[in-house]
Amino acid sequence: MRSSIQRVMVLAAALSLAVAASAGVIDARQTVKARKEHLKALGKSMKSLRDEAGSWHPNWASIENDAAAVAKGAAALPTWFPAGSGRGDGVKTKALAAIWLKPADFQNASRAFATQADNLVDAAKTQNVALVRRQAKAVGRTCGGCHRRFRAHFD
Amino acid sequence: MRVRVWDLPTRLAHWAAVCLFLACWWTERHDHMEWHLLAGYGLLATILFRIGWGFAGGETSRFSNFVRPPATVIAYVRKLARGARDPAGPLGHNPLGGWSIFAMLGLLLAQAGLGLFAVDVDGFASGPLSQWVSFDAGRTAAHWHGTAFHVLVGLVALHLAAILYYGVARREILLPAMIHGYKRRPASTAPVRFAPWWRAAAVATVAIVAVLALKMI
Repeated sequence: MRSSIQRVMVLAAALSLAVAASAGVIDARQTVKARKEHLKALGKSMKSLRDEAGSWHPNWASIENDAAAVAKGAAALPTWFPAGSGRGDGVKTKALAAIWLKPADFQNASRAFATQADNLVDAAKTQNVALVRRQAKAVGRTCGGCHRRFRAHFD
Repeated sequence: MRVRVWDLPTRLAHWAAVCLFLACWWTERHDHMEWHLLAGYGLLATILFRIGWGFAGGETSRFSNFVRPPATVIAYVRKLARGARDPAGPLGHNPLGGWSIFAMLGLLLAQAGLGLFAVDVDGFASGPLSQWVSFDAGRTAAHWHGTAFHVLVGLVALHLAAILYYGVARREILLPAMIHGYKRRPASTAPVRFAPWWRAAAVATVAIVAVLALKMI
């Protein structure tokens, strides 16, 4: 049973969202554009980290930098998906409606990503190549785990 | 008379390519990129083997046997257009089909080549050579990888349409020969020369070692 306080909070949240949307505060197109840039930056950091970890002489400062950037992005990721910025909201995006229809699942998926990204930061500090590679793989799996459920194949 | 047309290595390579092509498509479509890479390595090894077999294999599998000059292709198309049936027609690939095989193998090789450099959006699932190119270049390779896939689907559709055409319009059922290796031909037909099995093993070893080396990079 939900407490009445929770109900009021949900109602308030829903109301404020509705008000925000009707007031045109949420510009879905802007949101999607910014989100794509954020995710592309994440991909770039991830690639740079993996390339560095696979090279003969890994640059550990660069690896730590990239790991920190990935962890920062992972922590911020849920805020890149405000309601009304998905498919069917008049924008070209691969973000599926399931993100907002199953918010608990989406939260879990993004939390898994953030957890593994934090572990990647720790792994980078050890300067152990095998550990970093293994942890990068674990992070990558959380990317795929989320994309499988919440990202459409085509725009 | 039953005449042996396709040797086992050719048939195995053909059906392996079919299965792995489907696996590549399915795994990508469902975001199982680790499996996609494995299926891709398998397909690349298969294609490398088939190309090697095109030089070292049996008569019907050799490029020198089925990649024919344009004049021969045109003459064959004219014969097709007349609707003439020839029970003693080409045993292996016909002059037109030979070029279709050449195109499919070439495009599959290019497709695998693009995949080696491709980078997924999340920077995670990436080809083994992607570390030598930038993120943006890897993304471009990935987009071309997607485009090439659609062209390949077109070629496969053409391949299937041709098989259907031969079956329906010319009463020549081509599928069974690719399964058991035999076709019905007049008794006067000269037998096909095949290559020994150890040569297939050698070509397969080279192809597999080449792909493993790529994977190790």
